[in-house]
Amino acid sequence: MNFKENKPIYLQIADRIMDEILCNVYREEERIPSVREYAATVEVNANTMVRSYDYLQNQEIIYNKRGIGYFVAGNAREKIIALRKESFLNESLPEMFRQMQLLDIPVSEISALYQQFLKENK
Amino acid sequence: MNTTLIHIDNLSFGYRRKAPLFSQFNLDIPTGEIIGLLGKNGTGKSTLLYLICGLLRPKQGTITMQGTDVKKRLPLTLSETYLVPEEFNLPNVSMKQFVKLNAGFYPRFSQEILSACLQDFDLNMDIHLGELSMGQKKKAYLCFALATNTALLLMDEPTNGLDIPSKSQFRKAIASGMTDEKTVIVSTHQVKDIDRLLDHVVIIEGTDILLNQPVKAITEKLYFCEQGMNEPTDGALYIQPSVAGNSLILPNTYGEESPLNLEVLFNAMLAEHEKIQTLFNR
Amino acid sequence: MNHLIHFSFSRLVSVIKRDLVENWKTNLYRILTCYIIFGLIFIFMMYGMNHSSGSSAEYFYERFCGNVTGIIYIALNLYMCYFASLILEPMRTKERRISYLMLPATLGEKFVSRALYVTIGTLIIFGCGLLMAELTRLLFVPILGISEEFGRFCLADVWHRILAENQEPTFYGESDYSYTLLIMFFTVLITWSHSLYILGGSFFRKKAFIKTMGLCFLLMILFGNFFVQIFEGTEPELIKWLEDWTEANPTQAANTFLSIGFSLFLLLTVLNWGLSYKLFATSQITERKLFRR
Repeated sequence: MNFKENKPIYLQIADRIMDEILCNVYREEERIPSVREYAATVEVNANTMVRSYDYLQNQEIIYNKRGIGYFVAGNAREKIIALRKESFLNESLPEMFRQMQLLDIPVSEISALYQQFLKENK
Repeated sequence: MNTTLIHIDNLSFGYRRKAPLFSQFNLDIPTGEIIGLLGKNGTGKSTLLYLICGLLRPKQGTITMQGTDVKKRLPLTLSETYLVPEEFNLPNVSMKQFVKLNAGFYPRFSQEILSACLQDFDLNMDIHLGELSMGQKKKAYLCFALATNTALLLMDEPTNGLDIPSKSQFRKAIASGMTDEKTVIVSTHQVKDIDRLLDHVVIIEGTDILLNQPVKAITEKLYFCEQGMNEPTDGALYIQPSVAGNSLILPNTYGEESPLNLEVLFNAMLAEHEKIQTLFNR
Repeated sequence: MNHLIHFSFSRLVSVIKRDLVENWKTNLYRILTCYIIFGLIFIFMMYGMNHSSGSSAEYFYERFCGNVTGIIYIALNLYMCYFASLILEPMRTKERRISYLMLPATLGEKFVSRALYVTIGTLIIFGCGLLMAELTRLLFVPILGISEEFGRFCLADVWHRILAENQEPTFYGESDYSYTLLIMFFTVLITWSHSLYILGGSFFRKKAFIKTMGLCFLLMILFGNFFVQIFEGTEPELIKWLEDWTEANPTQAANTFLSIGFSLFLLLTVLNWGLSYKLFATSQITERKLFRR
């Protein structure tokens, strides 16, 4: 969950691809669409698309086979989950804490609600 | 590195002698980019496109495409330029016939791009140009324009007359048809239709260039965000009311990248262009 | 790269083809109009002549051919001048101007393609319409019960008639002028008046034919007056000298005047065509204003 919706487009698209990988639209070691194909799908500039792919490559979620295309890396799922966890802990959580502080909500209330949530969503 | 495709040097032009639209106007159009040419109605966007095509002749100054003066109207420049005007007529022949008659003038014409593009627009090669609705005519013309593979593609209000699904198809067609050797200039006042496609933004108000920057530089120097009504707005370069509260443009002091809000930027440049221009000159 | 700058015949052919096929409907209508008009004229004239009493069918056929000859002279003249004023038809509206000027061909190729259309193209349209009308008339001979005399191919007879009328005269009379020069002079006079409509067609964007014709009449009246005034004001001695010289050397005088006339009008014709091209080459997509600089 992202509280900060003001991400640059290329990161929003990277998130979209990561969601697709988590949902098994693209499995590990499977080829993903080319830069131009994906740019056409989401209707953005190809240069923006390149930045998304570069970002995912740097995070080792995808890799490039020269002349063939981009593929989902072997342990992409774990990497994505780790990345999301880091983002949640470093960005979303402090934001939530700020709101809690502002609205004077004690941790105990959150904890109770979380227990209820877990019960309802077995 | 980008080379310059079109070099406009000291251009002066006006439809009437006492009302020059452009005066000592200079602009360089880079290769391999999708450029948005924005401006209020009547500020000379179409005129500039016509001048670049050689359809109008400058009173003073020159416009050259890779060294050749475009006002000479040579096939050298014409075969690498395609204009989709706001209004046009299509002849009363079939699409196949139209291709046979016209594709030969464009050395890099691609039948594959034409077929793919027609398919994206829910049309096909068997259509007859005289029997299409206005929206379909525009789509067919856009398909042919993309298929000519010219180095320069100019479009004047291309999304006018297209319904919402067609606008989406248009964006897809541009996104997939773009290469490093092509330059596309889209002149429009419907900024929301094309903002995600642009590499470069040029905002003009007649002879004044309010902004001429790559999108990358804009998102480096400026920060765009939405704020709620009770959040602070000091230091904002421009504030515009929005659904959630306010849309802001701030100087990008923390180097955070935000999505470009072209509509707000456009309004900001019309209102406060000097303030924002100085950020780019540092 | 040269073919992207200079004239190219293959591209000229492509330009012509594009012009003809994209406007196929208009061209078809033009042939049909010509065919219908001539067809109706021929058939009604033939019918009318057949049913008048008096002389033999042979006599009436001769008159028929004579009428047709006259009609062809006038109609051809009108057609050539009207189509001359259509030389820049692809530039009539702003949208068409954009489309035509953006076509990747040289200005020369575009102008030549139009010039060919309004000259040779017109002759073909005219000829086809005429031929089809004549063939239709022949079909109607048995249908309407017209006498056999009219069953001849009148266009062939008309052609022989024209050739005979324009034979070099065996007896010249007083001056033995050059017949060739005379023909040349009249030919260039015709091409010059045609070129006036070419120029008019390049200058006026809409209703060029009527505007050009009107302008010609106006200029004729103005200049006619002007020349008469000059003539009256010229030294009577010079006129006397001219008269004496002409009387003394009739042949030489006739040939000299014909030569001067020929050269002058040839020059004017070339000038008109050149101006026409210039107007095309410098045209813009906005409406032309006469005194805009």
